[in-house]
Amino acid sequence: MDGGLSTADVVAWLGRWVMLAGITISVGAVSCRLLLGMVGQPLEPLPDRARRAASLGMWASFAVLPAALVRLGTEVMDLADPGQTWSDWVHLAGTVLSHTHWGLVWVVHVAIAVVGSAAFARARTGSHRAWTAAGVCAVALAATPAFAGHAAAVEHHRAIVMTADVLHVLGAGAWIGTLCVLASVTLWSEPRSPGRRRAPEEWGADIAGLIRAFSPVALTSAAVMAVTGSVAAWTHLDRVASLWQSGYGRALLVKLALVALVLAAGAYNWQRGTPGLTAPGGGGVRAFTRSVSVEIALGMLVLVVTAVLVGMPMPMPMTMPMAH
Amino acid sequence: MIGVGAAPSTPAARRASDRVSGTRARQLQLHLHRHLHLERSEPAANDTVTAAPAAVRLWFSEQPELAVTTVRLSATGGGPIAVAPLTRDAGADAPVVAPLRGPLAAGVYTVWWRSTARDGHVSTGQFQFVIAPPGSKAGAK
Repeated sequence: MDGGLSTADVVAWLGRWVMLAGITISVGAVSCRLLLGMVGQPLEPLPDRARRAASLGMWASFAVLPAALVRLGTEVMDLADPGQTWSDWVHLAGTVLSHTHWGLVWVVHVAIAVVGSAAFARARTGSHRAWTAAGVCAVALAATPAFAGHAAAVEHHRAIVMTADVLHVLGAGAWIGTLCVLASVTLWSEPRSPGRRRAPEEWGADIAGLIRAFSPVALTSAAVMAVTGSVAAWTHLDRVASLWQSGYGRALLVKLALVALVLAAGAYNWQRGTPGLTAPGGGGVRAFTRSVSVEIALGMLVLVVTAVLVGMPMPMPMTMPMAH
Repeated sequence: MIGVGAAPSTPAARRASDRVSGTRARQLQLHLHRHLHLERSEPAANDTVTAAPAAVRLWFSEQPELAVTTVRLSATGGGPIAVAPLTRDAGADAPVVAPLRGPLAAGVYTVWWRSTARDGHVSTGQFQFVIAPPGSKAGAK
């Protein structure tokens, strides 16, 4: 970024990353719940896995709230003059929220996160209506960044670009979010859950069934993300050379490299890790846990780069007249 | 929002100010910015006019959020110039109008602006124009 990296920039990136991670995991919690139902896990009484997925969804939706406050704070900081008092800042925040498009979307975003958190909390009791409400909120939450980001400001084909943006976020949630929640409610938590100790082979077969149900979701999500990401790149990059000649393009290349690593890790887990889950002695489950954790960590790194990317200015066409 | 003042001194403004200092910075800017930006203005950047303008008009690349847009005018070697509340017509291509509260004397003036579009990204910029003394020839530099 030009002008040097400031603390405010880092705080803004952190706020956007927490927001993106919260949205991704909220979508993943709902997707995970659907998968648990697909593979024949009993719906009543609600199993521990679904309850843990609801808890994760609740905390993920809740995490969006402090992230939203951080984003509002950095927006006001950028609009404020030096020497202004707290009351000036509060007044400016009120103006932003009540008189700008970004502020209106922020208010809707926060309201959805509050309702979503409550719905996930209620879903922990097994309420089907609460799960439905949580699902609607997760999808709505995934749509909000498109209304207050680069997609909202494009000059042409705005509806197409915004739709692509929403599908891109939903794809990330259905892939990385679902995998994260699946790992949380099974691989990372069940070895420590009292009363859940089973024969490793049986547990491995159980998880293999979930992963087999998840694989088409991941593949479809990856395809959706590839198409929608291409739409965004086509919109935001004026020419191919901008990929290496602009900061935005270089950040996009880093993201693409990380996505390639996530794809490779996913392919490994699908083709090599899943068959090994039923290996005698439980070694396959431990190895799968490690490799899935790597895939999720890489996915979270993609979100970090995305958080940087969405705050960066896009390349300007070479024919654009200079303002200064 | 309106404002009067001379030096841009918010973090965003300082970064913008740094960007516009020097030819290299201006060249780099071609590659770095496609958030809301100024496309043209009246008076135009670096223009020399003989008649003092009654208002400064700014055309942006996107529809600016008027409620959080700031335009400041200052005279080189002088103080800030009072600017009346900003206005903008409803049209997509309508400029932001910063009416001036009084006539401007001959001299070099700097216009500094800050605004944001629907995506919330805050942009700033500045440019200069000259009002030539009466009787002198005017023309773009």
